[in-house]
This record gives sequence, C-alpha cells and structure tokens, in this order.
Amino acid sequence: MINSLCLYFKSCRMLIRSQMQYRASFLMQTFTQLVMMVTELLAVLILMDRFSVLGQWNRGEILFFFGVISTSFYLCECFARGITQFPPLIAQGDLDSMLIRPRGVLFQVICSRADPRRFGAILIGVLALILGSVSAQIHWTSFKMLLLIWTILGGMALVCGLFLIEATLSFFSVKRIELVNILTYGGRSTCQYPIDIYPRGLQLLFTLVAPFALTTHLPTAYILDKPLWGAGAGWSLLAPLSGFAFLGLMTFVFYRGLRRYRSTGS
Amino acid sequence: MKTYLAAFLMRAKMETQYRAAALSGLATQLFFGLILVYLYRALYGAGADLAALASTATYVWIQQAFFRMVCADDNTLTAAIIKGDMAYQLVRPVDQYNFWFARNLAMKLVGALMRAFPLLLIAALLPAGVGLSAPASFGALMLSLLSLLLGLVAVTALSNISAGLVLVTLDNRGVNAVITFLILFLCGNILPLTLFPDRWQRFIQWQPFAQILDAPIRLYTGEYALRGFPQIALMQVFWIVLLVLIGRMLWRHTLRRIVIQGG
Repeated sequence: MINSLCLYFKSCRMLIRSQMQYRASFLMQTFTQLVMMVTELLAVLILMDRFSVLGQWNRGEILFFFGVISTSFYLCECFARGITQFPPLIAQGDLDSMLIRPRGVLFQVICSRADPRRFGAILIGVLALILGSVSAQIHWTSFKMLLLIWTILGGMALVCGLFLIEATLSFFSVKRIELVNILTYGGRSTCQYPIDIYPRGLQLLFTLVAPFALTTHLPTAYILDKPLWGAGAGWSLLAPLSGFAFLGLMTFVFYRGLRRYRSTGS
Repeated sequence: MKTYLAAFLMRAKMETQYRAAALSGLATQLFFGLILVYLYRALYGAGADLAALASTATYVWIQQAFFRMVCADDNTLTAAIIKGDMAYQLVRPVDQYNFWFARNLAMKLVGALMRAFPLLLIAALLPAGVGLSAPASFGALMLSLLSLLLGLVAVTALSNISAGLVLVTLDNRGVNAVITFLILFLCGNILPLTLFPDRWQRFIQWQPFAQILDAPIRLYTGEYALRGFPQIALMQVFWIVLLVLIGRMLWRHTLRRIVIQGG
C-alpha cells in the first residue's frame, strides 16, 4: 500500500515535470482552465445578483455548493485523469503492455496521467468555498471542517467512479459513447446547485444512479445548518461513503469488463 | 464561386453522415436544456412571472438547439495545420479563407439543422413554462430566421479567426479553447444574456457574440420589436464585415510567411 502510494506520487512528479517541458503551452492551458472556471463562477454570481435566492438558499450558500462540487470534480480530474483517457488506450492497443506488469491495471491507468492544468480550476473552487463560507456566515466547528474534507474526498471518489463507467464501456465499444457525459459533466453542472430545487425525476437520478445528492449535498447542507431531508450529523457523516461505495462498485464492474477484453492489436 | 459552392456541398454531405453523433448530441442538449429550464423555474420561484419564465425557457431551448452552430470547429483544418498537411491545401488554386469559410458554414448549418428540428419539436411539446413557446408573431418568426442566417455567417467568421490563430500558435487547445468559451458565455449559451444585470444590457447587446443567437432569439420572443429590425440587422452586418476583414487579414498575414513542418 505504502509502496503503491510512493509509486503514485513518483509518477505524478514525473508527469508534472514532463508537462513543464512545454512551459508556454502549459501556462496557456492552465489559463484556459482558469478562464473557464471564472466564467462559470461569474454565471452563478450574475444569476444570484438578479434573483438573490434560489429556493431556500441564498447567494453565499449557493456559492458554497458550487465550491464543493467544483473542488471535488477538478481534484478528481487532476489526479485521476488517466481514467478519462482510458478509451484511447484500448483503441491503440496500449492496454496490452499494462496487463503484463505486476501491478493492478487501474493503478497503472491512474499513474499514467495527471493533469496539473486543473490547478487553476481547483483554485477557483476553493475561492468559491471561501467566498461562500464568508457570505453565508457559516459557524465553523472542527467537526464541520473534517466533514467538509470528508465530503470532498467522497465527491472525488464518486466522480472517479462515474468516469470509470465510460472506461468500462470501452471494453464493449471502441467508439466513445458520449452519452455517458450526461452523468459526469451533466452531473457536475446539475449538482452545482442543491438537489432540492429540481423536480422528482432529476432528484432520483442524482440520488440513486449518480448519488451526488447523497455524497456531497447532504453533508454540505448540514455544514450550512439547513439539513436536507432531516439528515442530522450522523447521516451527514455517513453520506459521503456512498461516493466510495459507488467507486467500489464501478471498480468491480471494470475488472469484470476487463475479463472480456480482447486486444485490438497495435 | 462555383468552387466554394462545391466545397460547401461536399462538407454538408459529409456532415449528414454523422447521424449517431447528431443523435447523441441531441440527447445531451435535451438533458442540459431540461436542467437549465428547471434551474430557472426554481430561480423565478413560486410566485413566478409566467411570461418571463416562458421567455427564458424559450431562450434556453433555442440556444441548445443551435449549440452545434456555435460550437462546431472544423477539426480537419486544425489537424491539417498541426500535422503539416496544410502544404497540400495551399497547392489548391483557391482562396484559402473562402474555401474554409464555405466548409465551416456548411458544417455549422447542416450540423445545427440536424439537431435543431427534433430538439425544438420536443421542446415545443413540453408544458408551457418549461417548453418552447410560440414566436411572438408570424413576422417575428420570419425576421428571426433572417437574423439567424446573419448569425450563422457571423459565427463562421469568428470561427475562421479562431482557426487563423491556430495557424499562428499551432496549438488548438490554448487560445481556441478560450475563444470557444468566450463565445459560449457571451452568446448566451451558459446563461441567457437577458438575465445579465440591466445596466450591462446595452453593452451586452452590442458586442459581436450577441449577434450570433441572442439577437434572433430576442426577435423570436418579441423582446425586440419588429420595427427595430433594420437596426438589429445593421448591427449584425457591421460585425460580420468587421470579423471577415479581421479574419482575412490574419489569414493573409500568416499564410504569407507560413512554415510547414513535417511532410
């Protein structure tokens, strides 16, 4: 385990160093990410400037929700970028070389890519968390601090799990199936805002299928002192586990899919 | 002219082959449209001004329907530039700017039409307040279609500038991603320009990106009165001329001292 972690961080360092070789391109792309996130944040600010409340939530609280989702989503994209880049591995036959190495395939996939360009996006997510926290006047306790970190970790696990769906599907179809984006990027866009503003069908989709509402919204609402669905401290602490459970399930499905893998040759 | 028409028709035909892509795009746009519409319904709240909500929903659906028109970039061009195949392109006895303009125009037009018809039909069947409303009048529909055509030309000119920048930077992820995102934000795709603060409205309506879809939509919903049309069309034409001039200058300037890599 420790050895694996060391390996992972070593590969991360290597990947970041290799990206830094193209400094201008790296800076430009980081800047792009930053612009993207700033406009998304700006969109939320503009909307809240016009409407001032969204359901039972005020501007600060909405910013805080935005921060939680963005931070977990982009942390996941930064450190588990390899999973999103999995389908080309099959199409180009690069997976074969991974199968003969003495490490888990998924571990190697995660080690194969890291995306430091997302730092800009993560920064904006954290900025939204701070702005939201100040504006919503959250009463921070050490429990809430830990709960926030736990929630973000759970969110990262959930997003990883969602990206694994597309990776698993690529065992069955060499062509990318873009409809899965509805759950990943669509989930991020939808769940930037608290789940209770949406109609029943969407609530069910993002509670039972891609459980953003459980993993991130439940504890976030608790931190904001406006518990969703009457969930107290205990439930809020348990809820992020759903993200890890989802990741576990998808990892299982991924390895089942790997069994029927046939090389496309290279 | 015949050459460019042929290039246009070829690219148009090619676009119709990507039916699976169109279908998946349709589903994605439908999903995002629904999310946005429900978000705005929640924002307008229970005591909602139904007319305002219906008009915002209409705005969202038209934006989603023509997403492909705004967002499609000709990746054969960027690939040709980056891989060095541009050398073969330059041998053709055509004006490069016009040639790619025609192809881009075809791709955007056909790609958008393939998605827009089914999407708008579905949106029109949704209940009032979340669905697409009928146009303000028959005249509004006709003028908004006319204005949409101008918008199509404007966005093609923009995307030619974007491609021209790839000729300079050889990187289609940096500058171009920023431009695409700016277009999405300032054309009203991410959130309707009508919802921007009132004191920004004048600037928002005059900037080039608003000429793509915002102006046609406002004509459709009746926010722009019909007699204001000449002024709106003039603004669109003004930006088209400017964007084409900038694009042509950029292309001429870079193609004159182009260095081909690879072979």
